[in-house]
Amino acid sequence: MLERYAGRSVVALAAVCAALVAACGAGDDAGEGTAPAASGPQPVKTGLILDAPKNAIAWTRAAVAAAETLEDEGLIELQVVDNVAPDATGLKRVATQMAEDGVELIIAHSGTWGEAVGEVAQDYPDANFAFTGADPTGANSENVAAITFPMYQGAYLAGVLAGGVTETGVIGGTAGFDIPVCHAMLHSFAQGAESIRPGIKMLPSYVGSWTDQEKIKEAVLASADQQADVFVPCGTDPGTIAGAKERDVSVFGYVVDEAGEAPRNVMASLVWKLEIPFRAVVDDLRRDRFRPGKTYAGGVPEGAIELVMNPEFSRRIPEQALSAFRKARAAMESGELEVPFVGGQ
Amino acid sequence: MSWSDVIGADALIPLLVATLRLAIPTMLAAVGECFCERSGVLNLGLEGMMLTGALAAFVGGHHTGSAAVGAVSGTLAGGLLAVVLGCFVVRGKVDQVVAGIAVVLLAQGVTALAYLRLFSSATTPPSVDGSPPIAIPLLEEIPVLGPVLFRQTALVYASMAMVAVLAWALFRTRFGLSLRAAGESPAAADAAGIRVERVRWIALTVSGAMAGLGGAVLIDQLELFRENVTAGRGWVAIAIVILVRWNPVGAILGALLFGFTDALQFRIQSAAGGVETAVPFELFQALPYLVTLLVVVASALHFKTRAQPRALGVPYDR
Repeated sequence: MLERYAGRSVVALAAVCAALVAACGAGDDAGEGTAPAASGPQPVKTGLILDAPKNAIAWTRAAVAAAETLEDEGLIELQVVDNVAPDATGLKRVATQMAEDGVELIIAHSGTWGEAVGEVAQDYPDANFAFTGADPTGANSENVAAITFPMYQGAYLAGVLAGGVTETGVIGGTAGFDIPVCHAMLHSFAQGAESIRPGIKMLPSYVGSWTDQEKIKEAVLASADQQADVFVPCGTDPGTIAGAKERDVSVFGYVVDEAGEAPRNVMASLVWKLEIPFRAVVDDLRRDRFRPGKTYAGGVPEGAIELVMNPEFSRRIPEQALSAFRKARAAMESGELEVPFVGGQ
Repeated sequence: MSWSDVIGADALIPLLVATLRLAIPTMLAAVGECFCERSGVLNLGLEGMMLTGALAAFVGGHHTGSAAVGAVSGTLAGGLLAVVLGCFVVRGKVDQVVAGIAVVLLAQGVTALAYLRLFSSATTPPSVDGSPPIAIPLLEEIPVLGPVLFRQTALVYASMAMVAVLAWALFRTRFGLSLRAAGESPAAADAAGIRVERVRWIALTVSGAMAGLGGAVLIDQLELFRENVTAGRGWVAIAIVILVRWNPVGAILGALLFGFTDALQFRIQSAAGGVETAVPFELFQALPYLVTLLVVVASALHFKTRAQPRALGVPYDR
């Protein structure tokens, strides 16, 4: 009788080994590594580490697009590793491998890797690291720089537009959880709207999931039932745009230009042009000005966060709203207007 | 915050409509799972079958423009994945918990990869057109319940019919009796001439198909697909089956309970204007799970007999 089980055990063992091999192999795509023919200093060997598949979400798509722009300009030689587990072990394994391979600039693109990056950086003092997260948790050190993600600045400008466009005086926003980044975004959205339309009512919804698009859509429908007619998403864009489309209200795109998803409803998109802070980092590296690791702001004053308008919608925005928006943007770029970061509680 | 904004006369109907809309995918999976577990097979791959059904429905609907094709694709895909699981648990007598979880992991990986491969070239993320609501004349005039139950899409009507048919079949047909016998005492059922393995195959495949249909309904409502779009509904369905003591009518009500608390949660957040509420919204997110725990404990204390099919999870060797 034991023979019957022995055969199955061998198969099971083989399956487990296959799974382990597959898991180890997964996420190690070789990225592009073209050497451009430009004269001048050598392109910086750069590695970009992502916590999700590179085309899956706007967050990763934005980083890849930015890095590829720099590669096209001949500034870097790029290697992308995507779908790395969001915990410390995943990041450490890949970053260590890159450092061993002689990668000069390792960019860890996720909100959760701050500490892990710091630990790897200590082990590889010759390599340079950048961390594009939400709040850099003391990650700055000799060879680690932080790139900030001040979406709340863009959200303020979006709020100005929303305040001018809303017909009901009620606006809404969605986020997966009440984390400081999203809390600040929704708060600034309301502030911006208040600046052009005092007494505006804001209905934020913290859905309880980043990926449950139906719940996100439901939150939008519930707010729309309460008269909200302009929405801003924080990481919850697919469901929010779907909800706005169903009730035919206005919505903002998130991180990339999402006008194509709902041409009638997407007013503008809060686009994050990561190539701007990336370029600043690479530039400093080439001129030996990288150390000690600084914080590179990737916000509105730097031109890294931009509201990309949807041409189909622009006709419906009152001129008064557009001019208020332009004024606020100019004030932000000149430093005259500083939007506070209100992370909540 | 004004409670009348949440459950007052004007707000009640949208709240109930949202309840039904949110509940249907989970309801299909839960009733299917009842059916399956009553035969003695623990289908832990439900979440994977919902997700696979969702992707199949999305791809089918996207390519043909027809929601009906999407629904059929989703149902078939869910059923097929159930057959895969069946090869391991019904035929192979492998541990049902392990095999079920493996199926979920497989489905999550495959659907994410397939979606990327199929649609990565598109500059705008693809979408499908959801089916339009069809109002049933006369019935829709019934106060309160009319607009809630009888102004839904064809898919929702089909789903409501399917759960009713399964619930009826389990207790009012000979096949249902054979199925329950296979789950309570397979040896006795075998002696009575019931083909236990065949009954279990059918039950498992039906539960997979129902889960796939649930995924299809979700996509029809959402009109898009994203990685992990089912977000744990399959697991909720499994919990509901235990909560309602393996009763399909109870599963319908259990799914409605979860749908209701979800719908309520957002309306409370909106009505409260977000920042500070007397009842924090996190409590509402936790509420359905709290209720589940309380009911399971209470029923364990109160009911003298165990409701769990005695042969659940135990492979039958003739």
